[in-house]
Amino acid sequence: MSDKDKDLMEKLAGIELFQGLKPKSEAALLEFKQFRVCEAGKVFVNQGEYTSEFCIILEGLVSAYRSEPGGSGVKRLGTLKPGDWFGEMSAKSNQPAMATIQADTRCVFMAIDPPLFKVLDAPKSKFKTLIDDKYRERALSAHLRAAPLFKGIKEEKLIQLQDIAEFVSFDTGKVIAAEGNEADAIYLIRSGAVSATCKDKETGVQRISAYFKDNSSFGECALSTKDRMWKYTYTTLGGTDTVKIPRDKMESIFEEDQETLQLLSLTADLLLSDDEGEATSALSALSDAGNAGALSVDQLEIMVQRKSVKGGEALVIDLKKCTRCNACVESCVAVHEDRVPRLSKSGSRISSDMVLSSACYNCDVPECMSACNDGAIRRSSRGQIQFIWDNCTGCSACTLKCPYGVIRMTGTDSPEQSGRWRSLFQEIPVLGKLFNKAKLADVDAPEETEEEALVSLRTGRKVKGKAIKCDLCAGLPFEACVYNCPCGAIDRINPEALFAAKAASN
Amino acid sequence: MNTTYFKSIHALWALLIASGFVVWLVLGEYSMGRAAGSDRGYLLWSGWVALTLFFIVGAYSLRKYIHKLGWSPEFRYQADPKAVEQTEDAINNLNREIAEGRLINRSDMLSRAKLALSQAGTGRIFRPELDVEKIGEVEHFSVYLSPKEPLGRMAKWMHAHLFLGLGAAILVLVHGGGQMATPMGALLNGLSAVVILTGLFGIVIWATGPAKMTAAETDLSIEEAFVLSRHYERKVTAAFAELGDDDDLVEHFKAAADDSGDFAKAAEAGLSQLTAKDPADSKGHVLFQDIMALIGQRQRVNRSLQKLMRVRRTLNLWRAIHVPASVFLLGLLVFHVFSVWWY
Repeated sequence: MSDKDKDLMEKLAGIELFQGLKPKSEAALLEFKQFRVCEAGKVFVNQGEYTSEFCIILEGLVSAYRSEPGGSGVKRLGTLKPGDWFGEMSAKSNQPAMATIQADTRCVFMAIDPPLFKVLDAPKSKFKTLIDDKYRERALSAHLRAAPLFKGIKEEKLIQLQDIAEFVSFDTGKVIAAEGNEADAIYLIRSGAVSATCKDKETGVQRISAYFKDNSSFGECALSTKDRMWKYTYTTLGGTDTVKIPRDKMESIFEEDQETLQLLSLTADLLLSDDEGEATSALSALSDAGNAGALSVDQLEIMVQRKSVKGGEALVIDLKKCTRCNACVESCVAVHEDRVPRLSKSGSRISSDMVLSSACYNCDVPECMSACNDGAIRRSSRGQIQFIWDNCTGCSACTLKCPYGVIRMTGTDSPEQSGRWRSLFQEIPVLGKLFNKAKLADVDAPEETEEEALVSLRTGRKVKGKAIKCDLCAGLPFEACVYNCPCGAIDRINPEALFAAKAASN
Repeated sequence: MNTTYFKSIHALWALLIASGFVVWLVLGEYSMGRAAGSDRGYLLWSGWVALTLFFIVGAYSLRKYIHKLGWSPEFRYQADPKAVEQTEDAINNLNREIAEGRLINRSDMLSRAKLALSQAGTGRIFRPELDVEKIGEVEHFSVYLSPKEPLGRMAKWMHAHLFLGLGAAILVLVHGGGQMATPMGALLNGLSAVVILTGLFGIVIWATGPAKMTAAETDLSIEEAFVLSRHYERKVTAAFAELGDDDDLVEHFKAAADDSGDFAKAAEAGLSQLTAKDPADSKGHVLFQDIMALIGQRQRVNRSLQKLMRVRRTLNLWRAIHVPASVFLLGLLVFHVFSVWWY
């Protein structure tokens, strides 16, 4: 450890959060920590903005503000001082910031990105315990209040519920509750995402009926007066932190308050009757996740209605106009230094002559991001999913997880390595094809490059390529495919408007 | 049919230019293609304007190719992603101020947005625009960013290419009078006719062809057929590898896999050879059935792909004449200008 690192660790030793770090976590912290400075009066994070960093205040004071729902004004939540932190939910599951953070004085923050946060937030670590305690103190009451089941409960009862709440974490793909088993608890999702699936009676295939993400809850059936069985199987889509409120403990604290218990049961019945209607309509249209690479238009429409699609405007190709001249793909190649197109002309047919191209939908619950352990996928402050080339180790976990199949693996040549001169030859009509080397992963793997060898050595994994997807031609004053179509056949259209127009035409 | 080709402001420009020269010709009582006396001014003007129009028309192709090669000036506009994020944050803050009623004047909203863009250094890539949503009697404003698209969309260039090209054709006619007596006249007029006619044919094909192509894509789209064809190709190759070193059997399969060959006959021959060799080889028979199924699928996909490729070629074949003829014509026009000047 260098003298500079020793000094830093001495400073950090005064912060409770970093006391008792294991040597491995300490080493990771020293290697990957970052610092941010914010001048007095400046806003560091806006409420609702997508960030992915967990920040600890090292110097200065900040104020936290939150706009209350319904436009009832901005509420000051309090002042945070050195040693305090914020952004744990953003680092865990890339939730939008829950409050605006403004610097009262010049501030210095230590910023911890999601992969480092995962290391520090290890189970049973003091770091995790402190984060959980702070959550219980700061956010649990608000989270309980937000759950539809507890809407009508008095404040003192909520405090009792807080005391019996258990924090339970699940890894990716774990079943929290299985269909047909007895429902024994209510779950609130702190971070991560959960899918609810049920078995199709005719085909026996597991079909997705709903997604639950952070700040939502499920398990109302545990308090129902009717059937107290899980109707769905709840499976985590990534590392997921939940708050579990066991039914037996709830019944014991409300033993002498049958009125509250009855109110909870009636609310649960009411919510379940709504849920069944919604689930039935969803089930009739949604297919199993495994076949989701080619979603039907109805399925996409449901995704739009459920706000699972957050992409702003969808890329639509009008087949009545498209002459298949390939100018869109060629221009996509031109704007990417690695000469690999991000555009896919295939997708779902909305009607006989309209194709919804499988470009990235920037999902509300991005499974690719939860699958990435290397910090190579992040969300921009506006919600766009971005890939960080240098961090990608080519594990292809995101490719497998993407429900729409829009992520592809490409060669590992960095943009600088793949030259423009080769591309000049590629542009020569007819003869250019001789210089055109296909670079998709399904072509025979090239020899391992130095970079691949290094990553293989470091991670123990074989690098096959890097993950790519449509990046909306970031930083350029145009979207190449739309801009360069001579027939005006490809364009960005608001998906909700698109489906509304389709419904009107039907 | 794609009727958007025929709705363009460039049609009006072309009409104005062409009709202007026709009116001038009639009012001046000039003869088309004559270079004597008072006709000279008309001839020079119509020639220069026609040449200019031809170069504007050719700029469409130039723009297309410089983009493909990454040489387009707009590539230098690329902003750093951090600057883009900074801009988006600034616009978010601005929209918050608007929502809170701290900014009510439209021009102030736009000027603040422009200031944010210039501060972030993204003024060259974004244009701020105002979105107005009316809820009841109240108008709600928000600022959003549009890409600047500095050179304009290719679809617009296509319109200019089409209509200014037609305008230029009329000018060529009034300028040269369709003279075919000299080799240069015949070459220029002939080439112009070829370029114009292939262009007209192309636009009709491009306007009507896509609908026909879409109708032909009943089962698979051309992209899907291409991907599936490659998929089956790999599967068939892998299955051949499983057959081992039985050269005769592989030959039968290869004959069956040949798209131009008789699939049924080759399959039957392969099966009879397999049965003759070892009638009890159930594993071999299963493998045989699998391979034949794969070959059958591959042939079905390839047939579909070939059919779609034919339609696609029809859609774009005219360009094989139109583009070289146009390049040759432009070269000849330049030569014509210099030769006229020289003599």
